[in-house]
Amino acid sequence: MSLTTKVKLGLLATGIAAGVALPYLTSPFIIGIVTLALVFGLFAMSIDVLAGFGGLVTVGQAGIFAVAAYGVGYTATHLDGGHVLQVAVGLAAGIAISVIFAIMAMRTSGVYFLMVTLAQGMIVWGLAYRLAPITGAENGLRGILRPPAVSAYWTYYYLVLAIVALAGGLLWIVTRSPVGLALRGLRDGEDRLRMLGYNTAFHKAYVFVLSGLFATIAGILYVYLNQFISPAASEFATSGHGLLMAILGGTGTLVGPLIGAFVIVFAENMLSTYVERWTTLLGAVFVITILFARGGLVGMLSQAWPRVLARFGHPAASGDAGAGSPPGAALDGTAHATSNPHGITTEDDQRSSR
Amino acid sequence: MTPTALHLDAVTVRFAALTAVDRVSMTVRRGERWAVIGPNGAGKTTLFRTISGEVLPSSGRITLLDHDVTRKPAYRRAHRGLGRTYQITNLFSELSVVENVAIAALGRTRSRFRSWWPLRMERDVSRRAREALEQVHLAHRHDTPVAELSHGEQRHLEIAVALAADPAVLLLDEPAAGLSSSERMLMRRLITELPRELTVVLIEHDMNLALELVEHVVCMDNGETIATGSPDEIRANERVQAVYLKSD
Repeated sequence: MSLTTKVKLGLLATGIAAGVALPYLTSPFIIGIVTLALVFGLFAMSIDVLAGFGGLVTVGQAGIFAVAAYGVGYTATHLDGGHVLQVAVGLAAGIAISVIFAIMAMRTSGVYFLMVTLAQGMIVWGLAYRLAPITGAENGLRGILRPPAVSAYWTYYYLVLAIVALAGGLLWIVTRSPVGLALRGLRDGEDRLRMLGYNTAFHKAYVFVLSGLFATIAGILYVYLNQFISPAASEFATSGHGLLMAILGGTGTLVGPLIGAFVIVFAENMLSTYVERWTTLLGAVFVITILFARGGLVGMLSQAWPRVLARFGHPAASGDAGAGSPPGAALDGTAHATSNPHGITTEDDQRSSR
Repeated sequence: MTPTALHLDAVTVRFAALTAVDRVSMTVRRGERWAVIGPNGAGKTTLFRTISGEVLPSSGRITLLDHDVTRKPAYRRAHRGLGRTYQITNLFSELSVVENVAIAALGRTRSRFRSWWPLRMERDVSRRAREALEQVHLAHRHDTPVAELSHGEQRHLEIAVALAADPAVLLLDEPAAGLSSSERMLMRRLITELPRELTVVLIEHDMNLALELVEHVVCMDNGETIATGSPDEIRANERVQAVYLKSD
C-alpha cells in the first residue's frame, strides 16, 4: 500500500471518528450546522457527478431537491401519511422529476445543457409559488416532523451522517464503474464516444437520473432537518450554491464538494455573526479559487502533497501518486487526477502482483 | 464469393448548394483493403463521416455487413462492427492510455451500463484493452496520461482505440497525418500487421503510402469518383494523374 493510500485511509478514519464523536464534543448549534453542511455536501456531490465528472454543468438541481422535499412535506401535512409513505412519496417525486428533466436535457450539451437545466429549475421555482394548495406558496409547508427515532438533533445528525457516508461511498463506486468511465469520456469527447458505440443521449439521461436520485435524498434530509419547506429551496441561488460548493472544494473529486459545503455553510452561519459583508468576502474567495486554484481546495492539497513528501525526504515524492500521474493525483485520488483511477490491470500487472 | 462488408450505392451528400459527395458507389468485400484518395476538398473525409453516421446522406444507400445503416445513428453502426480513426487525433485527452482503450472495449458490451460494479472487475475489457495496446506496441505506456504521449504514439493509440472496439470494418482517416518519415514507416508496418480478416478502408493524402497498403483504390475529385481500380491501374490512370498534377 502506498503512502498516499495510507494517508487517504487515515484521513477517512479520522473523519469518521470525528463525525461519530462530534455530538459529545460540541454544542447543538454546531451540530445543526454540521448536519446542514452534510446535507448540502450530498447535494453538491450530486452536482459534481454531472458537472465535475461528466462536464455537464447543471444549474437546475435545486428543482429536483425541492420537488423531493415538497413530496415529503405534502404527504406529511396534507395526507397525514406516515414517515415511510412520506419518504416513498419524496423519493418517487424526486426520481420522477429527474426522469422528466433528463429527457428534456439528454440531447443537449455545453451551454445549451446549462440553459435547459436553468429553465427546469425556474419552472419548479415558479410552480412552488403558483401551486399554493400543494406547496403553500411563499408560506411554505410547516410542521413536517422527523420520525420519532431521530427526532432529537443528535440522532438526526447520526442518521444524516450515515446516509451521506453511504451515498458518498455509492457515488465513489459509480465514478469507478464502467458508467463512470463513460461519463468521463462524455466530458472529453462526446462525438468520439458515440463512434465507439455509446448512445450518449441515453448515458446522459441515465447519469442525470442517478445524480437526481442523490439530490432527491439530499432534499428529503433537508426537509426533515428544517421541518419546513418553502420556494426558497428551489430557487436558482440554491443550485448556484451547490455548484459553488463543488467548485470551491474541487470538481471531479466527490470529497471536494463535501469540503466546499462545509466551508460555505460555516461561512454563512458563523462568518455572518462577525462580518457584516460576509457575502462579499465569500464572493472574493470564489473569484480567487477560480483564478488561482482551478482544482479547488482538494486540488490545492493534491498539488502540495508531493512537496510535503519531498520536504520530509520521502523517496516516493516524485511518484507516489502513481507512475505517470499528473500533479494532483495524490490526495483526491479520483477521476481526472489519477492516470488509472479505475485500476484497470493487464495480465502482466496481475502476474507481478501474484 | 466473399461476402460484402461495406456497400455504398450512389451516396450523395449536399450542404445547401454544395455537393460534397456526389453519387459515390463502392463495394468492399470482407477482408479487403481499400484506399480513398484524392486532392484536398475531394470529399474523402465527408464520405467517411457519412459512412460512420456523423453526416446523413442526402440520397443513396449504405449497407454495412448486409444491414442497411443509411439512417442509423453512429453508435448503432459501431454496434454493427464499424470503427474509425480521425485525421486530427481524437482521443480522450484527460484519460490514460489504458482508459482510452478500455472505454472503447466497453462500447459494444452490456457492461457499459454497469454503475455499481468496479471497472477493474471487467476482466474481458482488461484483456481486450491489453491486446489492442500490444497490437500497436503501446503496452508499456499503459498508465501514461494521453497528453504525455508523442504525436506518433497518439496516432498509434487512435488505432488501438478503434481496434479495442473489435470492429469488422475499420475506417482509417489519414493515419499518417503529421508523422515524420520514420514514424510513417512504423505506421505502415502497423497497418500491414492488422488482422487479415479485418476490412480496412483508408484515406491517405500520401498516394504512394496509400497504394502500398491496399489492393483497391477509389480516387475522388470534387465529390465524384473519377477512378476505381487496383493500385497499378490508378497509377496509370490519366485522370488521376491530371488531378494530382493539378493539385500540386
